[in-house]
Amino acid sequence: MSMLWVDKYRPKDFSMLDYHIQQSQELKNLVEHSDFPHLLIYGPSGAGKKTRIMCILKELFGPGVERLKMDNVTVVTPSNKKVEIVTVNSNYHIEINPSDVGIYDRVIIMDLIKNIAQTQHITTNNNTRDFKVVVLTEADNLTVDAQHALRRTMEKYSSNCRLILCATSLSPVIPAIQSRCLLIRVPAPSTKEIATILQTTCKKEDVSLPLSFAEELAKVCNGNLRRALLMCEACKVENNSFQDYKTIPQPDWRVFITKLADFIIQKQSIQNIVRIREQLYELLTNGIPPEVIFRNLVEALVLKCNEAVIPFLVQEAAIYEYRMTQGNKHIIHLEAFVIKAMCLFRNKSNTQ
Amino acid sequence: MKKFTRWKSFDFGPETSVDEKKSSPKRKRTRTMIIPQSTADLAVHSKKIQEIEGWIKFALNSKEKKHTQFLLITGPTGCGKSTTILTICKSINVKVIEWINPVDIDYELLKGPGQIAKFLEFFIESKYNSLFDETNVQKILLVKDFPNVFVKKNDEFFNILEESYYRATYPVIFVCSDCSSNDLNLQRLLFPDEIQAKYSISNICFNYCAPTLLKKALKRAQDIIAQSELFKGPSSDTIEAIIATSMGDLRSAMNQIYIASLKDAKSLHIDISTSEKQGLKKKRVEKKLTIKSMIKDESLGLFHGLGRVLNPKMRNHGNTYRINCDIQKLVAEFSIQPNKFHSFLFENYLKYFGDLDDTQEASDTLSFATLILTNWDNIQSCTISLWIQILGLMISNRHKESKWTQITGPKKIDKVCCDGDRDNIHPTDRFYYNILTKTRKYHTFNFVT
Repeated sequence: MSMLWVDKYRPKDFSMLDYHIQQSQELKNLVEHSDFPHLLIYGPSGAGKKTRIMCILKELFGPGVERLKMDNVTVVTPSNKKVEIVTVNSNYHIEINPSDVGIYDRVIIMDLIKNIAQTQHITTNNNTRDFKVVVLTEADNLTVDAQHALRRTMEKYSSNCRLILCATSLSPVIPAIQSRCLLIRVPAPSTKEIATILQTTCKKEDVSLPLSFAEELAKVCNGNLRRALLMCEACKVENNSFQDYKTIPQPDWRVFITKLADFIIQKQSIQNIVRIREQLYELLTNGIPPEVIFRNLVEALVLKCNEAVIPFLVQEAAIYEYRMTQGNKHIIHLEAFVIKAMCLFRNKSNTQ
Repeated sequence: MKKFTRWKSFDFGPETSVDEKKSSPKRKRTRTMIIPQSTADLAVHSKKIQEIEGWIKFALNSKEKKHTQFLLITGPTGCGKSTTILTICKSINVKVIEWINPVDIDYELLKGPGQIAKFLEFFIESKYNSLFDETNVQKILLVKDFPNVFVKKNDEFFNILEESYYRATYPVIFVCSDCSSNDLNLQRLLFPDEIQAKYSISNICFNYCAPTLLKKALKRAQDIIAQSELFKGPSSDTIEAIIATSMGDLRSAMNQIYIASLKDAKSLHIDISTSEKQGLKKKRVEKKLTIKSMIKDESLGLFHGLGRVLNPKMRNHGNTYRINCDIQKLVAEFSIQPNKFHSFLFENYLKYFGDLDDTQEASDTLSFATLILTNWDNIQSCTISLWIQILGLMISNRHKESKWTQITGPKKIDKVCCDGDRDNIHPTDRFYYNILTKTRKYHTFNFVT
């Protein structure tokens, strides 16, 4: 399989980054000396957090970080349950996504990271730094327990281990972690920036991309550069040229959620709730983040529903979304919101 | 008259008063006669008896086995666990040696051996036969009374299991009563799953004594009692009431029948519907109280509790309705595992609601209860959350859907992982990946109504 454009043209060091140039320079200066704090990099998905992390690593350790290998690590919980997690590591860093193991993430944090942090790094040549880097992705999905465990680990082993956390949203991260890290926000690129990047990428691939279509793509992708690139490539694969660009394929889950919203507006009954619950489960089991589901659902509902209901709908959405970020059983809050929305729609149609 | 009042305490220890000694032979006979004589008399399901008998025979005959056979019997109190073992062993002529917690004896200067040491001794040294025993009698060890030390230090118990696994010569049966309290749940503490697997401990679980079996047993007891001139047979109403109040506890039922059949307790009459008040004589009220004190605490299974919440019973109270259920007890019952109860409620509540607005209220309380449940820092907040969800569901269910529905277990969300799922592709972008590679590696969403 040929490489996707997204991976093929991913910037590999700071000089190759296309936007937030000022920030990249600052990051470069920051890691020039080994003396830098733990980092918490956050921003919307597709803005280039991960790319920047890789750039930082490259800047620190040189090209050796690009030699990646995957490992399966098994950790035993206190209740003697074996938990397996996939790690991506090089000689200098290790990347884990503790939320892969759900509620056992605390054990991963405690065991695995402590293990890595306790091992002294043996310096082979002068170039290498005397610490390892642990990259934790989806830090905002960590349970509160795990975050508290992380807090102690961070303090204790800061001399031979640096953590780089990557999160979409800062609000689920406890203040104790936030204060121990240098917070770096990576904002989404502007539509103009996206359009330019799309065009340069296409030029490298020897395809001509009309500016109007590039702008259209940039608008649709919602600030998500990765999605823009994927869309662009998908369009190219589907009709080989960008001349008739009438339809930009929407992700199927998005279409799914829009249909779900229609379903809610059309008919309100308890049988429908049961069905909607199944659909929500389908979305969740396939890894669509609950926040994304919630957001898209509300957007789709607002577009379709009666104007008078909108204020109430948004108010309720705010309440349930807040609850959802606080708790870990997302489906309950999603369903509660769906039922509430149903009640609002039904009462509205009854009064008319 | 006076001597009968003493019987209520059921002291089986040695009699002390001279007055009692005269009547004791009679009394003893009735009591011992009630004890089942053969396996046919047991108020236990015949399959269960077969199961245990099979195990005992297997354990005794497997001479070439390298390790000790263990059996763990669990079940609610008073459902006849020990009696079953004793009766079966009697019928197949096996001697049962039971462990009784000894009193620690300290010598003048030294401390005597602790309970743990003695416990181990019990397993290992019981291979020395007593001089009075007939030879060639097969033996089995029974442990019902666990030394208290093990509640605190269960690893000591595991050590003993390890030791006796290789060294004890007789099969061992452990009897554990079910317990609703978390701290004292011996089964969970001493026999966790991995220990059961490690020492290949078989587990046989008893259930509450079924009403029909209970009735049969009581009938038998009644017949035996009728032969004695000290007692009179209780009326069938009384038996019915006893069956209703004993909640499957055979021992409690037997004790009650014992009291009910005392000769001077002539007017002992129990209303099954106890809440009804008729013009009561003073005497009757007293009798009621004595029976009341015999009523066992009702313990609810998970499904029973779910049924209570999902199918709330209301009673009229003037113009308003009151919930006919002891919520306090319900909460206390499930405070050990609020999460499980909560997920079960969430999975099933929709089927019991008949109105959208009611459902909305219910879902709102459930969502609120989750909020408290996930941010718990002590057991109190779990209880509060349980209160909220239980009351919320019961009150908001105004248009009850009363038909039989199956209760389904909570759904676990296991994220679908594809092999090689490390291409750094966010789940929201998998759609494009499918298009680009022209495969169907990832799930495609299709909305069907």
